[in-house]
Formats: sequence, C-alpha cells, structure tokens
Amino acid sequence: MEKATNIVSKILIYENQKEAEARLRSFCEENSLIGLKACNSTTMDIFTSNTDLGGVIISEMTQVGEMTAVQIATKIHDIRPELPIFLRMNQVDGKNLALDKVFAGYFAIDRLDLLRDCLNKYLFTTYYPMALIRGMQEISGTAIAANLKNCDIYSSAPYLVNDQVIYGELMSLIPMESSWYRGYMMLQTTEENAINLIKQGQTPLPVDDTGYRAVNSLLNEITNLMWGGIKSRFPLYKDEEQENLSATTQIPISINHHHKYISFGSSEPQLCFHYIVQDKKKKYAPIDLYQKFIFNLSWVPENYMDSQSQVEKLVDDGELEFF
Amino acid sequence: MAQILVVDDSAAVRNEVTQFLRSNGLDVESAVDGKDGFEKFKRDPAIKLIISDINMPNLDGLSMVEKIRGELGNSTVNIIMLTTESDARMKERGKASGVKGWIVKPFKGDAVVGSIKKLIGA
Repeated sequence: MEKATNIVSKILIYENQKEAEARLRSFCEENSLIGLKACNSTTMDIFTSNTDLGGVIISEMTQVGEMTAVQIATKIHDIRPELPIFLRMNQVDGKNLALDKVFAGYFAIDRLDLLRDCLNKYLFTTYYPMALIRGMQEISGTAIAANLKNCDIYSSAPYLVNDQVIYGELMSLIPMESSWYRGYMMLQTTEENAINLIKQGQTPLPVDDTGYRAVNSLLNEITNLMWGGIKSRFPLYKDEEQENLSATTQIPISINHHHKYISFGSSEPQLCFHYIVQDKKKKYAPIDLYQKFIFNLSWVPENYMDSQSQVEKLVDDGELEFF
Repeated sequence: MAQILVVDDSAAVRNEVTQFLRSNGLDVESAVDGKDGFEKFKRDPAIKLIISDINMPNLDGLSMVEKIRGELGNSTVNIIMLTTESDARMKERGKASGVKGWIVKPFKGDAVVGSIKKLIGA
C-alpha cells in the first residue's frame, strides 16, 4: 500500500487579489492546508457533494457574478452549516455581530495569526499521534487487501473535515470503544465500483453475487477486519470495567441509501411503533415517527421478569428520591 | 452430511473459507450466525470441526460454543475461532469453553489446511 501520513485539511479559497492569494498560498503550505482556488461560478455544486472540505476562506472583496462575499458565504452556510467560513477583511476592526452566524472567524492578510487561531479552534482541535495514524492506515490497508484482491491501494494524506455529508450509497458503521476513545468508525463507498470488482472476481464473493446485500456484506467484512485490527493494536485498558468493553461483541451496521436499505446483520423481526403527531387544531400535516427496536446482538426475554421486579422497587414517577 | 461447519455472518468470508476447504477435498456446510450454526450442528452428527466467527448477530460465536458444550453436552467436536478478535479475555473465554484453536482474520487457507485436516482425521 502507498500511503502518506501527515494530517492535512482542504480549504476552499475565494480570493481575487494576487498579493493576498500568494500570502495565503504560503500560509497554507506552512500550516498543513491544501488550498483550493474557488472558481468564479455561482454554482454551489461543490458543497452539495462530499468534497473533503475542512473550511472556506473568503475575501470580503469577493464578487462572483451579482453575488457579494456575504451573500456567497450565507449561501454556503445554508448548504453546509457545519463548514467553518473565515472572512478576510481589509482591516480587522471589531466583529460584525450580524455576520457571526455565518462566519466562524475574521482575519486580515497582515493578521494571519488570527486565521491560525481560527484553524486551531475549528479544525486542528484534536491531537492524533503519528504512530496511531500509521497504525490505522496499515491495518486498514491489510483489511482492504484481504477482501479486494489483486488491487493496488493508494492512501492519500489523512485529512480533517467538518463534514456531515455521506459519500456514495454504501455505508457501514461500527462502535469503537477503549479506555481512551469512544465513538464510531464509518466506511463509505459507491455501489457501482464495488459491484465491478465482484464481477471481475476480485473479491471473495462469487462473480454473480452482485445484489446490494452481497455488496454491503463485503463492505461489512472490510469494516469488521479494520475494527478488529485497530481494537487489538491499540487497547490499553486501565481497569476491569474498561477491559470488559473489549470483550463485548460488535457487528457493523450497513446502509445503502440508494435502496433505502439498512442492515443490523440480523434477520430477526424488529419491534416497531408508529406514532402520528398532529397539532390539536389540525392546521398542519401530521408528523410520522417510526420507532424500531433492534436487539441484534442479544435478546433474552426470559430475563424480562427480573428487570421488571427491580424497577418496581424504584421510586414512582415524579417523586423526589432522597439519597 | 458435512465434516466441517463454517459459521460466519459475512457472505464473503463464508464463501472464501467454504470454497477453499471444498477445493481441498473436504465436505463443508455453512451457517449465517451462531444461532444458525447451533441448529445446523444439532442436526448433523457427522460434523467434526466447527470454524466460527465471534462477532455475529443473534448469537455470537463464543456463546454458540458455550451452548454446544453446555446445552448439548458435546465436548468432542473440534472448534476453531476465525475472527478479527485477538483480545486476551476473549481467548480466555474461548479456551475455557473448549475452543481448540484461534485464527485471526484474514483467513490464509494454505497456512492452516494441514492442521484442519489433522483435526478431522482427513
């Protein structure tokens, strides 16, 4: 596997002034940023797809078509509210509170220290040890190679994003827990490209097994291998309770947006409830809420009575319990 | 009637392991999770070896082993775990339940086929 390990972040830059642009380019090189020059188009397509963006820098003098910098930034903020936007002003003369909802920070070309502070606040907030990054890449590369045969695997530099966008139709999700981290690992891809690999016999699946359920199972297996490898390589449990976490089973949840498909790995029926919420005057359309319980990892209803008798010993609803 | 039962919720792994063992002249049956594996094992007395994943829905691999040893009282069938887990507590639990061997995924058939054949006397 070919890989790069320095963490970077991509920043889209709206800048019309040559000198400022050159200063920003140098700043990006010095601060692990990949600066992308925004095209002079009012289209916001780049923001509606997953573009790996960490943030946006926009000069207050920017004019794209009829749109001013504030109008462009407002539009970006509407599409991608999680994306931090930094406004380059000619002079930083106090904040414009009316724009605080849109802009995460302000700076001037002779006050790049303010931009650096912004980036540290919004992007480079968490420290990721280099050995951990290398280990994650290595384990992941092995997991991919084990399932996608005869392929070259390239890994770009790891990057940080403020991103809530889903890439591709396929996604798997698995909890990651240790004494020093808790969260999820997510793997996203496109269905068509994965199907092509199956058809060419480059996966452990039969070449005609190209249904979306099979494709999702392939993604799940890669996820599972990555999860197991990372969990084994970086455990460091400090006490028994934490150590017990490592002994709990987990399986990936897989999602295919295109087919409106989600799998918890189990074919057992799900316990569902449907709530319809309607305002009393019936002025608005009702809201449907679908609730599903998926006990895919364990379900022992025989123990239900035990938990019920324990609950009855507790204080009734609404009562104050003194300790 | 099969000699080996492969239990894994991943179709990719099931297919890979099953195909490999069949290509080595072994009779193989597969199951999609621990619950399915337990039921299939109960129905087929010819099974001499179970190769099972751990992290599976409905019933995980180690609980399946415990049920086979406890509920069915079977202490003779050979069981190997094929898993991404290398956690010491998991291994301890497996050992205590009578798991014979442990393979950390990915499955490298050539490296283990000899031992598998020995275990089932093939």
